[in-house]
Amino acid sequence: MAEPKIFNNIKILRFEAGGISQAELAKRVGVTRQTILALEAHKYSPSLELAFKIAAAFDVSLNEVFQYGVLEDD
Amino acid sequence: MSFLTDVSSREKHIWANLILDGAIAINFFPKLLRLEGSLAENTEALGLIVGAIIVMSILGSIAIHWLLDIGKEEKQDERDRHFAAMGYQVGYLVVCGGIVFLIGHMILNDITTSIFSFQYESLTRLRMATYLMLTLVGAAIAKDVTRLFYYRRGY
Repeated sequence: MAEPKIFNNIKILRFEAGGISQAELAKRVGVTRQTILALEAHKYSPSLELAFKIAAAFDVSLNEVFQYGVLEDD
Repeated sequence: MSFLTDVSSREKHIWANLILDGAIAINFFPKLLRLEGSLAENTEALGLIVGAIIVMSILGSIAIHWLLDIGKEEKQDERDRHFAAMGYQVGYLVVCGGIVFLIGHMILNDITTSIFSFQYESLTRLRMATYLMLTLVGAAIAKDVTRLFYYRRGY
């Protein structure tokens, strides 16, 4: 059975926010574009601070962006 | 060539360091380990090896930066710092392993000399310095490999 992990809806939220780019989001939250890329690919679990910053950038609550569990495709 | 566009400048820098460290280790450590005798007896040979390392580092660095199209390194963020810390952790273990190996080597050499009247290896200062340098290069390689592993596989 797959281990539960943190996954997110950043890609969807970027699209819903008017298609902001990874680079733009990265600039807003103060990380590199590669970190946003890794987050979207579920290859990196962010710090709590970064998670809050991303939620604030989309003006949504934390659990609308991040969830903890097992991905369906796992 | 999607690799070159998907990878950050930071990762390319790590690849460049890794390739250079690997090339230096493969090219020069066998030569250093073949040197017998004291430092004073090998001054010329050592000078040539060190000179070659410096020239190779400079030329290699220029060539790799050009080949990988490495730009200015991005500002470090939490992910970079996290992976760097993990790299240093592994590098530290390699340094500890190298030092323990050297201490063990020295003690074993002393024991075999005093008890069995033979030295299984002439452990000169030059040889010890080479082992320490090998440990440092090994640690640098281990650090870079660890960082690249986490950048590629994720964490």
